Amino acid sequence: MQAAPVQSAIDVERDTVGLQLAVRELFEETFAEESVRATLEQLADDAEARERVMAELPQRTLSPGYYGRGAYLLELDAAIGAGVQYSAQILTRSDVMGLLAIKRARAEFERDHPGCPRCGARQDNRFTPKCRRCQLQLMGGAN
Amino acid sequence: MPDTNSNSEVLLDLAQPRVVAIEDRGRQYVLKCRRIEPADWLLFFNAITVTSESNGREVINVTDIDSPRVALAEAVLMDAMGYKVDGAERITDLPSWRSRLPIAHRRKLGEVLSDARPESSDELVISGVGEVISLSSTWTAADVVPGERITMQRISGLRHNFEAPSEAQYRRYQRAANRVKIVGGSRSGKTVYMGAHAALAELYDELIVSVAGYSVNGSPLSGRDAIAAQMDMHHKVMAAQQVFLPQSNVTTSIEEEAE
Repeated sequence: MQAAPVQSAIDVERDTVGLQLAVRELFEETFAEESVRATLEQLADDAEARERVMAELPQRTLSPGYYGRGAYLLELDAAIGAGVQYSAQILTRSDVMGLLAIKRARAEFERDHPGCPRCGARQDNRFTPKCRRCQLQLMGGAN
Repeated sequence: MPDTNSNSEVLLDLAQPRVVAIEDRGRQYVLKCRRIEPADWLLFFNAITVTSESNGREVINVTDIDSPRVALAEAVLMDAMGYKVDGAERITDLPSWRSRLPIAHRRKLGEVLSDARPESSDELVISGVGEVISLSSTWTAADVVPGERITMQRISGLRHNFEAPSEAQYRRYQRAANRVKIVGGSRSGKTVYMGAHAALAELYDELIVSVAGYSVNGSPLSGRDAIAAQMDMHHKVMAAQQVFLPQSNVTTSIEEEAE
């Protein structure tokens, strides 16, 4: 008989790979929700159709705690971006590692959803021939 | 539990033993407890388990507070009255008497001992200096007259006046509130929240300016150091939580469009 493998607990603060993936999923989720917002508004009276659209949205793949920590890091990142300065006593090492994970997730997201050079709208992918908002020809890919 | 009288005139005396009356099958039982110390509360908070897991698009949250309540009740019980016992005069004469009390009684006692909740006043008044939080709490029995039925007393208007938290303090709370461990793998595992109770109690001590409605051995509680030293840790956590994560009653009136 084989002993069951012992699974140790994951400390989410230290799992920067998991956090990067969670934040990436949060970016994708927001992007997808923005993409279907107008459709959902048009389908306000058709609950079934709305449900079908919602079912197409990307699903979260990790345990919920990753997204809570990811949201905390995104808020911290936004505060720093807005000019709030934190001393080394306030930020922990895991905050810094988390912020770096956000930076990597954002770079991946921006690479996969480049902005239109004219209107700035993020595209569905790198190979889209035409901007989804302003219809600018993207010559085989956006930025 | 028997009738509870609500009262904002009396002071909640933090130093006195707590007397809790519970009722079961038409009979009243009286349970006397020692003061709950910070170490007791830390054990209680650490034993609360809050987990969360995904099931498709749904997130299922589970909280177990029952076992910590029972453990707290057993830790602080000093006396129990009203029980009929076979082979002994009083239940307290029995070995391990605390764990012989019906589980429902211990659970109810734990529930009363950990009863402190935010109170929304009828009128919103903005403090000029910081944050004002009001709590109410079922603390102890009103006047205990031998032979008479005991009424529990709910004390309202327990006010905590805080300085506004700094960004660094807010950050400490957020970090503590988001401390989690995942058990069972990153994808299908359960998220176990570690709890921010200890951080909230620390932040309370840093931010509290004054309180109203509390006393220690009959003298009103005042002075930041005395409040930090004497205030019940559960009340600290409940009040501080309202500063950092307030419950919202805010709504908007939407005028219905005429058809």
